[in-house]
Amino acid sequence: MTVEPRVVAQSVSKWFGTLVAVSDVSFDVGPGVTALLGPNGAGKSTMFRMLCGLARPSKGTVRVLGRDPRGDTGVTRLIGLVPQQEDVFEPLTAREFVALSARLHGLADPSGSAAAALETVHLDPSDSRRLPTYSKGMRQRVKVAQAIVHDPAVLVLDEPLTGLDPRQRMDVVALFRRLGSEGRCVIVSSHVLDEVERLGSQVLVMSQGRLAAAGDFRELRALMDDRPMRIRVRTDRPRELAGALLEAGTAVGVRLDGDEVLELDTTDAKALAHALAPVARDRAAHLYEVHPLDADLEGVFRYVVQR
Amino acid sequence: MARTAVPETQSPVVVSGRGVVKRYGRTVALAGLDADIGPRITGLLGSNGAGKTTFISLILGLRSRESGELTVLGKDPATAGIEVRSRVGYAPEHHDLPSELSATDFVRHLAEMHLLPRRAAVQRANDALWLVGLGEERFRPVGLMSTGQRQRVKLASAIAHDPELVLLDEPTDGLDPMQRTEMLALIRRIGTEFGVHIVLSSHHLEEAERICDAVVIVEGGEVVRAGRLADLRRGPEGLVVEVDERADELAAILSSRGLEVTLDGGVLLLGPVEDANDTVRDAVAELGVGLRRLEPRGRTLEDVYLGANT
Amino acid sequence: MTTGPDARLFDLGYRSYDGARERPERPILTLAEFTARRVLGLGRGGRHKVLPAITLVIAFLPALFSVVFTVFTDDILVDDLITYGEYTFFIGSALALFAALVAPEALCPDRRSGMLGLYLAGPLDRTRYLLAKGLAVFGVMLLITVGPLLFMMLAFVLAGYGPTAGETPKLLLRILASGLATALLYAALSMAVSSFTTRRAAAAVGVILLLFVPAIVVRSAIDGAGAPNELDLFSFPFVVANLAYRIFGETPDETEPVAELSTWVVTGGVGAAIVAGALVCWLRYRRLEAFR
Repeated sequence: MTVEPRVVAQSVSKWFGTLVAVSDVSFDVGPGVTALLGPNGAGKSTMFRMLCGLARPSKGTVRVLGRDPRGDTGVTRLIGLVPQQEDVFEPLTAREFVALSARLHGLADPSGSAAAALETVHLDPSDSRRLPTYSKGMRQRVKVAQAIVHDPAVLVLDEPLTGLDPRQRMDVVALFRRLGSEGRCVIVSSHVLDEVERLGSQVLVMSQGRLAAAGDFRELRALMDDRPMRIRVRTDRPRELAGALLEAGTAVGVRLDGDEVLELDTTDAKALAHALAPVARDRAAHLYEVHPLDADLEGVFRYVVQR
Repeated sequence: MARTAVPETQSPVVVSGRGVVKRYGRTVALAGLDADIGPRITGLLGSNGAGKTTFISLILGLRSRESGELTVLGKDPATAGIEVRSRVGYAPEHHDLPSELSATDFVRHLAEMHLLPRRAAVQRANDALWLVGLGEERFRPVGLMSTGQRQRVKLASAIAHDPELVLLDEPTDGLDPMQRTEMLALIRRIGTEFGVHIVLSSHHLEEAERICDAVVIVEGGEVVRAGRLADLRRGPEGLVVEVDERADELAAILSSRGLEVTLDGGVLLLGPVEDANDTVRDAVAELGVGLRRLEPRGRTLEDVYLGANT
Repeated sequence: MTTGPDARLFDLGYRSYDGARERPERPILTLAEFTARRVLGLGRGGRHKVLPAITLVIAFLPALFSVVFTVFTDDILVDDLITYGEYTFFIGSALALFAALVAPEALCPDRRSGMLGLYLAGPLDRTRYLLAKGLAVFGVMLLITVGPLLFMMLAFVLAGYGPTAGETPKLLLRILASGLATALLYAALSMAVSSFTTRRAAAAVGVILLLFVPAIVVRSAIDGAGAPNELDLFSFPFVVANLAYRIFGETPDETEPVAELSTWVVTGGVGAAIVAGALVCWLRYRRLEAFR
């Protein structure tokens, strides 16, 4: 790839009459997997449509591989997209459908590429049934196959895991991770944060039409210093432990839950992590469990969106 | 007969199947399914086409089985279908709801259709909609509602007539992360505090892990794993430890103190668990590194599911 | 509820319902009532009341005229006005219109919206569902098959032109019989057609076609090709109108093939059409895939 796969949005806004769907969003996404997250109604789908070239920004620019996905028909050959709304019901077989896409992208061997793409998503290329008879999950995988058949440098996928069962989800997540690690620019949205965490740690969070956060979500958490981190500790001496940590200032708040469980609030998670074992040892307290409560993507998401 | 919270140890079986066989033409959808679905919240998991939907349709008595026994709330849905369905609430996976009806009319009507007298139906529809957080929007036509709202309307309609068993098919489909968390919390409340048995069919293992007391995993028309979550997740004894830095040094120290250590990003320990916690604690304190995570090692539901599917 | 000496905290959570429940057959009536109301546009916007209202007006108009003329014009002979027997024939188009409106509205939207699946997931099966819908469609049709006639009779009675006290029960019975037969026939046929499509407009067109196309075809066959008169039993609107004449002991002016048939045959024909329509509808619904 001569040009590094990048997707750049600059001050992008989109409105429909008086409804502002996207408001002044700017980001720069490079190779690897980036998750685009946000509550329903945050403008994610609209943003996706603009990234795919299916809609034009009311203001600002979107550039995929340096080109405008809406105006420049050449760049669509380099983008694979799975838009959310459009479901495939064409009266074609899976192979025919994907081959059609391959042909549109100018591939030399459309049928062969289609077969390979279908196999990547664990569908049978020789299946003669037509798409409307496929289950939702199978149609979803056909959409993914159609998006990767032309080996695109950029992949834009809006809720690509809908309708898939657990094993299929794992397979497709692994596929996207692989595609990202091959240097492609993969932008994915999903509401299932546990899975998003497995794709990587780069996120873009939209809320209320605007960009609320961007970057590595673990570092994002550290930036939210107005929100204490919450750590759950199970020990046989919760009160002693809590008291000592509070006194040392490493914990700023504590909640006792039952006889053994402690929820500690801290503004300096690193200091708390360092203090836990020594303090417990000094107090002869057993440590059965130490578990961060909201440092995962869901915690970050909740805080970002609720600000 | 007032219902109170069901303790986890209570054992009445809500749905019981033995050798259930169901065919569609030459396709065998269920090939001798054996399952006991107990009280509180049970997750019904499995790949697409594994037989979950068929099983649900048999539980509701909407299809008849070729052979085998099936009891739902003590009755056979094949012969006592009407009675079974009057005591069961169902929220389907699809989002097709009559667009003209207001949420409150829709929920009330279905409650009445489930044998609730008119006044009670009006009242309970109201209560149910408030419970799911749609109190203010309850007069809005369902057709104008977002996916998140529709999911909640479906849930409200499933519980409004105070059923003994509620079947929920993909109740978090289309919900964003926060809505998902809320919905799961709601379902958990209904299943634990209010004595309503819930069967939750889902593609999301982490959801089942979060709120289910037991799971039934269906594959190829049979139950391949089933049981209480706590039992299924019991894995080899051990601990998972995660530290800020110098994990390899920590591994070395612990190994020298007699623990079996495997390094995998974090530090995993096998071996005698008694005193292992203290050994870890002391080693971490000596090394002066930050302790981020310390947890008993168990299998996740994903491990169970994958193990069941091979 | 939590209580203290001077305080009560009420629990707003989920409440169990321990009250009485309806009998398992009750949903049939509930659904019938619900459907009837929706079909007539009650509980919905004004827009949905327009067509039913117009059709009702058209159906009642002859009765209204009849009464007004009788009351305000003393020298018109009662015989010149519309009779009970010919009423059915007279409002044939209104009946067809109503049938094309009611059954599609009762049956089609449920299949389109997934509501049928929700109904069947409750204490209802397909037979009971159809019974409820049939009751609704039939009941609503009765409004215009019996309604105008009853209205006419009552008005005549009040104005002093009506039947004597002795004759009244017999007249009532005839009104009921003719109204029932007409309502059942139109209901059965329109429901049968509506079971084939989820689009109301298509079903409506289908109902009109089923009512009139066989009639046209059969009559040209009888007139032109000398086909047997019995075939006229497929001219549904005319057959049931003819039956109405016979119930009231009148003879129609027009010479139609059906007039040549005996009363038993005509009654049998109407009965068979009713049963066939109901059967087709039932069989269609048995094969429907309603659970997804």
